[in-house]
Amino acid sequence: MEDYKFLFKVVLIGNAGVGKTCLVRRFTQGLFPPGQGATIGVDFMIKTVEIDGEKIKLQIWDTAGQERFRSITQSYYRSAHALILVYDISSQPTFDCLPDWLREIEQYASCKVLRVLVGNKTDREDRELPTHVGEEFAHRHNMYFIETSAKEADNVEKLFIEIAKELTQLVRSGHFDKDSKVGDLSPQDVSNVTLPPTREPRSEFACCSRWISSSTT
Amino acid sequence: MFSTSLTFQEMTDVTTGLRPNRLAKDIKEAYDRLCKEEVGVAERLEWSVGNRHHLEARLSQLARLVPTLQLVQADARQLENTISFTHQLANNVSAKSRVVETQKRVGDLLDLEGCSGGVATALAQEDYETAAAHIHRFLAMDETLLLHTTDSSSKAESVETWFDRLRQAERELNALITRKFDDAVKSEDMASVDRFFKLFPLLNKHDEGLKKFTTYLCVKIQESTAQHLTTAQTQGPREKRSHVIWADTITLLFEGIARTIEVRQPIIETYYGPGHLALVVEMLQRECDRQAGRIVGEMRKHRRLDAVVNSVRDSLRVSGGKEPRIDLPDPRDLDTLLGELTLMNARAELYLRFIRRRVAADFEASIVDKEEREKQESIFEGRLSRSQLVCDMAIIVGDYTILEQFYLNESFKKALAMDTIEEGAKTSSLVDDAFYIIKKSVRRAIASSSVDGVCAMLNHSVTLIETQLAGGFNQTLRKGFPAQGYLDLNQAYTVLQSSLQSTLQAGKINPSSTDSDALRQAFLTALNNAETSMRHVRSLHQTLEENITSAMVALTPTARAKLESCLNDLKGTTGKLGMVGEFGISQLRATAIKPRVKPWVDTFTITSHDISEDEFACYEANDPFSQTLMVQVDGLLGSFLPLLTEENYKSLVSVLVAEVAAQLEKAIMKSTFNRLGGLQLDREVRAIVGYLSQVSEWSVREQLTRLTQMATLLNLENLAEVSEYSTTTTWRLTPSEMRKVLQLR
Repeated sequence: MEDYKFLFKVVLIGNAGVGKTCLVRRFTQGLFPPGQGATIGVDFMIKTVEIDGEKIKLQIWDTAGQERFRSITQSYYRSAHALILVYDISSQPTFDCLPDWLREIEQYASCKVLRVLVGNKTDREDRELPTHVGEEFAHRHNMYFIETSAKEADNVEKLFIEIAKELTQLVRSGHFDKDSKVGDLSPQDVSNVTLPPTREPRSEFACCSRWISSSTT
Repeated sequence: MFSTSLTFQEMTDVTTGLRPNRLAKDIKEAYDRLCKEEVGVAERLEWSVGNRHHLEARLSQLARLVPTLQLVQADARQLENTISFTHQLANNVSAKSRVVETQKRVGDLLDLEGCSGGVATALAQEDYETAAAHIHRFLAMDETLLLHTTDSSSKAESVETWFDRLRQAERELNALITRKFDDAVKSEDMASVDRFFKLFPLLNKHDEGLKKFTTYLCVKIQESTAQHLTTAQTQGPREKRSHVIWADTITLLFEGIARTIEVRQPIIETYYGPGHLALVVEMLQRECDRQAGRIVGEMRKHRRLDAVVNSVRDSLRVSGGKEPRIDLPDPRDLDTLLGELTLMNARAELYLRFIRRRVAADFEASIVDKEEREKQESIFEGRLSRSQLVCDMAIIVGDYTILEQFYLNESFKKALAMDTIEEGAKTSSLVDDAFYIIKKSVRRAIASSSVDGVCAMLNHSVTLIETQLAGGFNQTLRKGFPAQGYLDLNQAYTVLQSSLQSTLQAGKINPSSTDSDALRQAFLTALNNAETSMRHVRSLHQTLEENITSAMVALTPTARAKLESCLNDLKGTTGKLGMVGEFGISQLRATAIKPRVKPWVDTFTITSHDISEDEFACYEANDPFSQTLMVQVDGLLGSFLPLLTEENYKSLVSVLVAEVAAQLEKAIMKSTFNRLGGLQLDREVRAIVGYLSQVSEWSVREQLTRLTQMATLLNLENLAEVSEYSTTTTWRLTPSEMRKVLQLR
């Protein structure tokens, strides 16, 4: 058995070409591969990080943004512990699609999933979406928010580390079922299957400004 | 001394001379000289004598040096020999290499002459092989060097004309071969195509030859595909393989290309050398992309794939919408289409694997440097994995997954609608049906050889098992187990009371007994279904894992990790099902066990354990408690035995045993005992424990041990025996519990 305390599934979603694969590559391999072709189906990477001296294994599923592969990509939502929804700050259309993505999340993902909104490509000169627009959207939808640049390696490490930290804390507080250790998230507690999923905004969830304020770059 | 004697001789000569007056003067001078000399000699003599030892030492030193000097001399001589030998050798060698070079140049020159003549004749005779061979020879020569070699101007001129002539011939031959090759292609003259294809490398036109040849091969592929497409289009729906005709057509394309590579590779390798396959394959792949695209396009059109996929996608998006769409396909009708799609992708995967293997082998043969080889391989792999074929197939897999997900969900809905329990069966038809459907879907995905397809279907199956199966069972179990068994009057009375109470509380009419019978059966079936599903999941996991290992070979580590993760999730559904089962058992305990066991055990408190000898004897004959309890427990278990699966029955037994033990413990604590009462208790506990451990498993005996120990404590003669006992027993009771028990006496 591998030596780790928790295993978390992190799934990246968002329109084609917003830089999901680049974010994952930057984080897992420290690379920024230019001219990356479109992802076909689903890519898969693993990185173990250390949070408070504990080994946390992140299983990162990098999905294709194209509509054609939706049935394949959607199948991963339900078992995800965290969903990273990415848009491109220099492309208004990728931002305009966010509500569609949220609808998908509502439909397929667990209600306990940690949701993070990421505005990628801060290195671009032709920004179309000011930071506060993304921030407000995230706040309105109870999501974390962070702006990144996979190219400049800006905030990428922070994004994943914060997710690992937050998930570890959530597991400890019993947010997920107790057997998360073997990577088995039981997203809907069996005992309240008949009840509508509770969606109280937890205080940690709501404070989307926490990450942004500490990003100095 | 000698000098002195010599001077005397001189003196005699002088004395016999004629000039006496000068003589005296001379003598005087001579004498003075002699005197001076004598002084000098005497001084030297004295010095020599004085330093004699020193001189002798020097001399002996010198004598010793002599052999060393000889050695040095010998060495020097040897060195000289070596040098002279080397010199000689070097001379020889340089002469020889010069000779060889000259010979080569001479040969070149001779050949040049021969070539320039030969080419002309060969061309005239249409002997292109010979002509090309001449040109090949000429191309191997170093032109400038040859020109420099020829010293006389007349000769240089002729060499230059030869060169000119050969260059001219090369151009001619090049054009000629190209033309002839094109002609041969046009006239479909296979032999000539092969013949001229072999000549290109002789003119150092490797790439050109390969390109022309591959273009020719591509045309052939194009033609045969067009033919296959027409056959496919005109084929009637009644034909035997019409349901997979597009998969068959694309298979023919792949097989055609594979065969082409198989047949042509040896020729290419013989005449062009290894390392050229990647170029050929890349060109062929572009053609393959085009042709496969045409076939896929036709397939989409004929099978109405886009329309079907769109309607299904919409239905999945709405998911649980009110009206089922009219144009939604029947899942059963999808079977053939799904089969064809998986077949197409499986064939493509097979083909791509073949291509990869061949090119890798060719790189292996041609590139020695490992790093360079890996670089070339990754460049090729990059191109191949971005090829249109791979993209087309990924889209097909995407479409397939949507349809398969729909198939899975719809079939499950149907199975749910038709869910029945056969007479005497412990589970309902849903469990077997659901797992049959899941197995079928995932296996079909495995047959497609697409890792993403398999992972997606595994994920969809997990969703189905957890939300539909486990969720559904849970909902049924949540409705509770109606406690009415009417096994005895006492029971009936309690039930009546409680149901009256609940009726009053809820303010509604008590469900009729048939209703509660149905509820009871539904509850037990759900409980059994949950437990059976766990076993099904385990066996499904194992089967699928085996299927994947045997059907999907040569996987990348990433692909393997993906499959492993998704398979693990499937296995993980047992956790959820297990929780549902546990919940069901706890419900049973609360409504079917606890209320019954309580009155049974209550009789224990009624019976006094502060008894006389007579009473004790009487109890021996007429057991007041334990016998009845055992009969009742046995009756209860017996009523569940035919209704529960083996595992569930075991769980029920352990729950029941635990309940009896716990209640009995409580009852004992409420009673008081005298010596005989303790003995009586011991008898009773022995009987009950004996019975319960007989029906239960090892795991519940812990609790029974507590009972036995309590009886033992109450049965002791005096307190001293406690410590005596303690040395041989591990107490399951805490010291304070022991104290409490002992106080009961």
